[in-house]
Formats: sequence, structure tokens, C-alpha cells
Amino acid sequence: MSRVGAVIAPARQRMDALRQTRLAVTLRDGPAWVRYLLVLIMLAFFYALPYMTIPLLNTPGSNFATVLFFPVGVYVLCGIGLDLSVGRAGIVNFGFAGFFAIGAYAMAYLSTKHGMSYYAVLPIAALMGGFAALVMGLATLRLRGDYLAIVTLAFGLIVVTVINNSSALGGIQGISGVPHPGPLLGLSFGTFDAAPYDALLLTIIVLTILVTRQLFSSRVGRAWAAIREDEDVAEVMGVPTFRFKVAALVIGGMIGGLAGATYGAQAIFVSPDTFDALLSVVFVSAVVLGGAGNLVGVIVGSAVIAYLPERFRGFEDLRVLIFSAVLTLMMIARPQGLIPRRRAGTRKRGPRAPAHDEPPTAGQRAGLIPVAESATLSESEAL
Amino acid sequence: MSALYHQFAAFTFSGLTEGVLYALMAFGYTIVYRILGLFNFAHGGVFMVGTFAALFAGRSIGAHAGAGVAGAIGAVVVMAAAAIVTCTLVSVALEYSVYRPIRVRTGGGLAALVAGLGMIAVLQEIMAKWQGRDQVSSAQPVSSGSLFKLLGGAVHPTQIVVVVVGLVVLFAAQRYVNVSRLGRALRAVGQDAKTASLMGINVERVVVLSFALAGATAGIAAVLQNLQFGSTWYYGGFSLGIKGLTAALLGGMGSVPGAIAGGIVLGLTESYGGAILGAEWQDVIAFGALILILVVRPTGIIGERMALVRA
Repeated sequence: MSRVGAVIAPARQRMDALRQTRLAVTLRDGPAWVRYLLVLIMLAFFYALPYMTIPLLNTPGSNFATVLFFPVGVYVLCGIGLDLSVGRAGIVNFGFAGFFAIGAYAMAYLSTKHGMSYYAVLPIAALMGGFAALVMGLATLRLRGDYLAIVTLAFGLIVVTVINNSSALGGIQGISGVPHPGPLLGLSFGTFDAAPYDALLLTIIVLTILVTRQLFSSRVGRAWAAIREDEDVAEVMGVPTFRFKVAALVIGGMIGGLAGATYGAQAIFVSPDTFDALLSVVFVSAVVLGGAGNLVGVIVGSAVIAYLPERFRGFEDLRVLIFSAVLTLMMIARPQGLIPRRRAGTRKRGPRAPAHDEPPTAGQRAGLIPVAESATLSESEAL
Repeated sequence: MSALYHQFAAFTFSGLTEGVLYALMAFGYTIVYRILGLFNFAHGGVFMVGTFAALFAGRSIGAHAGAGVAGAIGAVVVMAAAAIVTCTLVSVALEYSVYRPIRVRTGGGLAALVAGLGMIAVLQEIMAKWQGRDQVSSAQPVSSGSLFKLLGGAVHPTQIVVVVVGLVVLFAAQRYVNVSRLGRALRAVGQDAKTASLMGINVERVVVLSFALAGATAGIAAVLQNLQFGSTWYYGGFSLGIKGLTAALLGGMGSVPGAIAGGIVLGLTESYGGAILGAEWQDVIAFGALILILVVRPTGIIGERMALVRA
């Protein structure tokens, strides 16, 4: 076992002990209304969060409600969209910022040049994000899996370069003066108070979760899981893998479009340097850090990735350095993510099987033969 | 269009120069991919550190143009030595401290890609903190003026140095991989790590060797970059790294001749395409060419070597 593993093992035992407590068992196996009540309480908490003052949680350098909108809420929505391809269907995607950019520019362009309202542009932005994903998917998804890492990265760079060089989209200057959404259900959206936007975005996130959860438990979700585990076997078993992989990208792209459009309407101003390659990388890191393929993990990971740099504003110069160093360390310490994916039907009730403590062979130490081959299922998922 | 027609030779020379730099970077990606099936995204960062090592070496010996041919060669050798040693060390350190722990725990995968991208940002930010975020000018022992005209296009001494040194290094590396004992071990592990290990090959050492080779060629690329452009900056590794990876994919991942061909094709495509559409579209042309070629021929121009083994 590696040294890092030796540090993590006791923590894992404590987690397992926690899972056996009465409260945890009631929540997991108890009556459904307990779970619904818990979800409702959590929702109420999140809707109230922008109005609350919590000493340690609030961000000293910037407005807390604004931080909750961007980056936290936007990252969470993008994380959920990206996870459809990365975590569910197992497609590496380093171009998600492209979909996000397309949504934001759809909102900025259509509202400033054609006077359309936020609510009218929203579905168009989603469709445009989805269409971009369709084009990308049709062009690239027949390639071998790991090639997608660079091809999708290239796609994101193409989107930014096109925006940079297009005078209709404002070039490097971007588009300013994007109108705010009109009032909705007694909420009015202004420039200074971000709290109404938080409620709007949270609602979009909740609706997205409801829709995607339906997908996961349907034929689509099972097809994605089959593709992720073994694409060849899935194809042989009659799953039209190409179509389902494109679908994962397209639905993710639509979610990215929604996130971008809402971001554009709140930020008033969109410019290409917001959507550089680093943003795509940050989205993927958020998903991988939280635990690809696990909805709660993805939400937690995205929120953490978005929130931490805001919390520690003040060391402007060192922010990116600290952020990337911590990210790399997290990947080394826990490559499967904070809350790894569970496989349907393999929920462990008892304590985990003890990890074997044999000294690794030369091949294992070099990492060419993964140690995890004989470990528990959820650990061996290397994505 | 007419710009391309009238200055075809000049665009060819500059495309070829850029292409050799891409090919050197592509070699580093391809050799690590061949062993581990891993895209070493931090490779651009290794290169960037090398450009600064060459810069400091050039400064400390007071390298300048006009010291005669012998002086120029001496200065380039010193700068190259500094860059090669630095890049090799950084590359091997990356393998030990980042990639190996991740591989041992999960067998690689997405976490390794994200960690590699994290490390390129770490290297860049450390350099930015130390040397600032502006271009830093480097010593230029080789004159950058025009030397003579060939087919109507001016040829610069720096271009000759880049192309000649780059191609010699690449062909030497290709021969090393194909002929030498360690090169044979390298190919064996690339084909089947388990069997190679049973045949008495020290797999760990071969993995380190692949990172060392990648680092050394990145060091050469770093020196040549400094000679060609006369300056470097903390962000200089990212785009060249991505282009190098693009070149490796174009030629066929895992194949050394593929890296050379992919680099030169990419450099020329960018140069000609930029002449037609304008230099600001070069990135779109490069990535568009990548996607187009992969759609038509998914294994790249020369063809990937390991498709049968890794699948």
C-alpha cells in the first residue's frame, strides 16, 4: 500500500463507521419521507444562503451572494453538465468552456443586437450549446477515447479564437450592456443585488438535477454506464454506443448553454478571456475532484473548486499557484475523487474488505499494473 | 492568397522552422505515450523551464552575436547543456512525484491528465512569480539577420541552426529507440509491460528513461526556441505544448517518425494557412487540420504503433 494510502485508510475506516450509525441507516433505508424532508430542508437552506451571514463561510474580499452566483452556482451547473460525458458515459471532455462561452455569447448577442429578453434567449442558448456539442461529437466521437482529451481541448480553443477574431461578437473587447432578466415571481433582477440571481440559478440547477436523475435511471443512463465500463461489450450487446455518446455530449452542451446564458445576463459583460482553456480544465478538475459519476460528489467538487479561490482572495498573485498545487496534490492523494461513484446494486452494507498489504511488485510500483486490480470495486474505477 | 504566392519560399522556411520545434515537442509526448499510454500535459511546462535555463546560461557566459562561428557554437552548446540538464531533471521529477503515485493508486486515467495540467500551471506560476509576466529577452549568439536568399525567400542563420540541429537530434533519437539496448527495452515495455517485466526488463527504469528522453528533447527545443525568437516568457510552454501534442496526434501517437512528420506538416500547414487567412487564424487552422485528419485517418499520418496492444 502506498504511503498516501496509509494516511487515508484510517479516515476511511471512520467513514465506514459513520455509515453504520443509526442516523445514517435511517436515512438510507428508512421511510421515503425522511429523505424527502431532508432534501427539502437542504433546498430551503440553499435558497436562504445568500441572505445569511455565516462568519467562517462568508467571503471577506467579495460579496457573498455574488460569489454564490459566479463562480459557485455556475460551476455547479457546468459540473453537472460535464459529468454527463466525463462521469456517466466516460468521454473525456476538455472543451466544456466552449459550450459555456456559446451560451453566454448567444445571450449577449441576441439581447443587445435583437432586443430579445432573457427568457426568450434561454432556450435558444441551450439549443446552440447542444448544437455545438453535436458538431463536436459527430466530428470526434468515433476517435479512440484518450484522443478526445486533446481534440476537445482543441475545440474549446477554436471557439475562443473565433470569438476573438469576430468583429460581430466584439472581438477581444467582448460585448457589454447585456440586459438583466425581467422580473419573475416577485423577484426583480438588478445590477447590485445578486441574491435574486442565486434563486434563479438554483432553480435551474434543481430542474436540471431532476431531469438528469430521470435519465440516469432510464435506458439512457444504463446505456451510458455500459459504454463507460466497456464500450466494445456494450456495442456487441446492441447498445448504439455512438448515438448515446453524442447524446451525453449534447445534453451536457445544452446545460453549458443554460449556464452561460444566465451568467451573461448577470455579468452584463462577456469577453473571450473568461472562457480560455484553463476554464475547461477547471471544470474537469471540479468533476474529477468531487468524484466523476456521482452527482453529490460532482456538486461538492464544483462548489469547492469555485469557492476556495474566492475565500482566499487577498493573495491575488499566488492564487493560481496555490490552487493548481492543491489540485495536483488532491489528484495524487485521491485520484478517484472525494466521493467516488457507486455502482448500482453494489452498495456495501458491511465494512469494507481489508486492503491487502502485500509489498507491490516492480510493475505495480511503476504503476503499469494497477494495484487496484484486486481492491474493491469502487476503488478500481480508474475512469 | 497573393502573399502566399509571392513569398512562398519565405513561408516554407518559417513553417519548416516552427515545424521542427513542434516535432521535438511531439517526440516527448509520443515516447511517454508509447510506454504509459499517457498524455503528459505538463510537458509544455518542462519546455518553458528549459527556455529560462538556456536564457540564464546564455546571460552568465555573456553570449552575444558577432563572436565568430566558434564563439556562437560554444555559446549554443553551453545554453543547450543547461536546458537539457534542467528539463531532464524536471521531467523525471514529475514522473516520480506526480505521475507514479497516481498510477500506482488507479492505473492512470483522468486524474493523471488533470494533475499534468495542474503541474503546468504550477510551473508557470512559479516562473511568473520569479521572473514576472512579461517577455524576457534571451542572449542571441546566432545572428538573426538574413544570410542569403533561396528561391526568392530570405534564409536566416537561426532558421538553419533550428532545422539542422532539430532534425539531427530527432533522427538520432529515432535511431536510439530503434537500435540501442535501452531503446529495445523501451519498445518492449511499450508493447507489453507485463511480459517485458518477466523477460527481466526493469520496467520502472524504462518509464523513467522515457521521461528523461522527453525532457532532453524538450531542452533542445527550448534552446532552439530561444535562438529563433530571442525571448521567452512564463506562458511560452502552454501553446507550444498543445501544438506539440497536436503534431504527435497528427503523425500518429506513439510513432517517432510520426512525430517528425506530424510536426513538419503542422508547421507548414499553419504557415501556409496563416498566409491565406491571416496569422490570427493559425490556431484554428492547426486544430481544424487535426480534427479533419483524425476524422479521415484516426491513426494519424504515419499510423499509431500501439493500437493493437493498448486496445
